[in-house]
Amino acid sequence: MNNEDVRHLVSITHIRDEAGGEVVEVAFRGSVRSHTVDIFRDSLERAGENAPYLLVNLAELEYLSSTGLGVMLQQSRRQEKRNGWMRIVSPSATVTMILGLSGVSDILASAGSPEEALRDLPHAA
Amino acid sequence: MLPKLREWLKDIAQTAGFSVEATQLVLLVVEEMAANITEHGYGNRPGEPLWVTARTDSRGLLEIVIEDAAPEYDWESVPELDLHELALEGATRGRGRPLARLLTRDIGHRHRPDGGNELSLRFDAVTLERRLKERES
Repeated sequence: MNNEDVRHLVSITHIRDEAGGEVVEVAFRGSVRSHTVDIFRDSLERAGENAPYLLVNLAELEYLSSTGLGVMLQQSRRQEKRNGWMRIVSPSATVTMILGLSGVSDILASAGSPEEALRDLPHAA
Repeated sequence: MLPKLREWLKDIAQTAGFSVEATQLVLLVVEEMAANITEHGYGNRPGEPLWVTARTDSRGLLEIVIEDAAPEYDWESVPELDLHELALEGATRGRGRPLARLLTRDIGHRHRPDGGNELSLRFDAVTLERRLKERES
């Protein structure tokens, strides 16, 4: 395992109680590559267990491999099974480029900020 | 891919005149192909070798060759998947090779004389800038 890469993926999880329901936000910093994708998957799964609505903040993610993209698609389905959703928040320029080239921008919905994503909550004002 | 190798390839691409965004695409393809070899060729065993060579020419062509010592495979026999269809299906895997097809000028594969494989990824800035513009439109 490449320790430099492993050190280079950090996640911070924050649970917030919003008017429309309980929301969990997980922010990643670093890069999702073959050596860090399992950590990425585990962090997303654990965060998603806390609430049906999941915000994945990728503002400081430098790189997302296609396997990491697949992990996000899987997590999005898990949230839908919990009668919730997953939103990507503030994706970095590189991540935006990878989402666009892969053609999944329409499947994995993005928002420019957490506040914008929270407007999609069922009972949001 | 090792950080030092990423930096080295980044320097070569940018010296060859590739923009920052186009260089990111080059790195994306190399990352994806190296990950495929590690997973499918080596079964994710750590410590297996990959040899990477880069060449540029005066026409702005950048060729990156990845050699491995994994069991030989036939590149052409691997089913060609379509990124758009993968997106419609919500597929969670299989995007590495179609991304490489999309972003390279061409790809060559041959068996190394002493075993293993040699994958040659050829890039030009025009193709990459076109893909970037298509993504924006």
